[in-house]
Amino acid sequence: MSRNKLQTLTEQMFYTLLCLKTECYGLDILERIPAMTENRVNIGSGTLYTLLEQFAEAGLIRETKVEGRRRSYILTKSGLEVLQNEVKRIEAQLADYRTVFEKEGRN
Amino acid sequence: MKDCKKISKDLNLYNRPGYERFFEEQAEEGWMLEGSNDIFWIFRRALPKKVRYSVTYLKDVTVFDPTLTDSQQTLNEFCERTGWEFVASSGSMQVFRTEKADPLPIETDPRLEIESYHASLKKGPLPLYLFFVFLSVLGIIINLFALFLTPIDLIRYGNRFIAVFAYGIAASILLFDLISYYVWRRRALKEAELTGTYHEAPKRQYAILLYDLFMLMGMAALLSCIGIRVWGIIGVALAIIVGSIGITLCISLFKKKKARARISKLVTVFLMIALLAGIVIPVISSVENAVRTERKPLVIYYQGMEQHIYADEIPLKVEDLIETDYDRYSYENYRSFSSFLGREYGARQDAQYGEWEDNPEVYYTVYELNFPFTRGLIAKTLLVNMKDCGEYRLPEGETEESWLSEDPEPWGAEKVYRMRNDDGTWWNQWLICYSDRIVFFVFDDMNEWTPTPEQMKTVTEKLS
Repeated sequence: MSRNKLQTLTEQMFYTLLCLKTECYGLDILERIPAMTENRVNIGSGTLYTLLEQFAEAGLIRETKVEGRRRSYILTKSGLEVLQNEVKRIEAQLADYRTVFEKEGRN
Repeated sequence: MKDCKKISKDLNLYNRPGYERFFEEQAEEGWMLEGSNDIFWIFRRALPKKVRYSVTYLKDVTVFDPTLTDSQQTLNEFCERTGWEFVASSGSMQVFRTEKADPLPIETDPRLEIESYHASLKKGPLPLYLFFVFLSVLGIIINLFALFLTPIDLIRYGNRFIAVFAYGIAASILLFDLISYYVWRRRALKEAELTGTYHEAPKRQYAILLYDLFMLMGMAALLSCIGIRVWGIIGVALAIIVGSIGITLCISLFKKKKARARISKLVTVFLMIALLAGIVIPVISSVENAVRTERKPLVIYYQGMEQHIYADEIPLKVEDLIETDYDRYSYENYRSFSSFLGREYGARQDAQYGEWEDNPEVYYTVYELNFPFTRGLIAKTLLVNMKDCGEYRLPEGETEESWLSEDPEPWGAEKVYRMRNDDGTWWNQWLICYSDRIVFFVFDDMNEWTPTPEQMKTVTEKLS
């Protein structure tokens, strides 16, 4: 996955990376994301499979354990950076939103 | 009542929604997909049920994999967790089923889905596509180049035009598919980014790759036989069918023996090349030979040299031109080509070895042209490169020869050329251009021979 595509993360990408802040089986992410977002965000099994493969290729996550076919992963330093950049981007968006609407409120 | 039925795969493996609908309709009719082999989808009778199917693609899985790969097993486990059961696969295409009424789709990110789809194409059909585009373009270039280089081939291999046309169609279809796929991909990615959904690829995309390939290559091969023998066409068609079945069986056998995918792939590619080069071509020639009437010449020997003596009916004989009491000539129709552009035939009358000094011989090749506009081009080739135009060979050591035009009227022709050596002596060789044919005529005598108007008339009459 090219770095460009990681400039802006989709919700599914964001939560997949977030789930991997602590070591976690790939398979378990399927349940963690809906649990974390109160079912607001779901991720399909095929999508998760592709994302894990692409994140690992891009060095955003790394494999920590293989038990049979069960593999667990954890976020890498560059993965954390991407995640933090995304958070900053969202915060900036939120700040811009507030600035606009608070101005309107004052007027 | 049958409990099991098989439906052949239609090679349209990249029509995802079409396949999902097809499997769902089968389930509603009481046929549940159970698995697949290299040729068929296998269905088992069951209670008619409304179930959902989902088709997805894995880039690193091929038809050559003998068992489920690691990536397939991992994906299957992921899908199982969300209620999807793995049912069958065909190369990179993976089929899952669920009985849930409102299941979470396997693919929830349209952009990633398009990318996965593209990645699996890049591993399989795309390089093949490009390879066959290359082959088709090469086919066009080689055939056109050959025609321009040696226009005489217009008659000998006039079907090259048809082959160029067939290759042109093949290249156009392949390129059209390729371009329309990339256009679709670009639009779909943009659409997915903006709306979170996208329009499916048109049904035809990549779907009938192999079908196109075999049909068009086959068509080119078949068309190139037209005008030779109809048995050639049937032979090639059978060779292609038998070869295709052989390749499929070979892949199945490798899978059964659990051979490594790479070995299986290598052997299959080799078989495909062998099919094109090793089966189709020999079939054409063997069928040709089988239907050709075999003549059995009389074989004589002179000072250790073998000579074949024929007794064919030839249109123009030495006896038609001069009086001779020599009766040991060989009369041979030695060449014959035909195509929609015309016909080329040649005959020769040879004295037996050691007896030619007092007995002149004749050789001639007639080019009958169906399209007069080709005459100039063919005549030019014959004049420029005489040695390539027939079986007749100039004596060794001869270097400079040139054609000089003669009065065509006595010949009843439009143009006539005679070959002259640089020392001013004449060769008994003429190139006679009529409105509908060209004749290369050689009167092989030890001495210079100047035909009389009657003899010229005879040549024209006999070779018309």
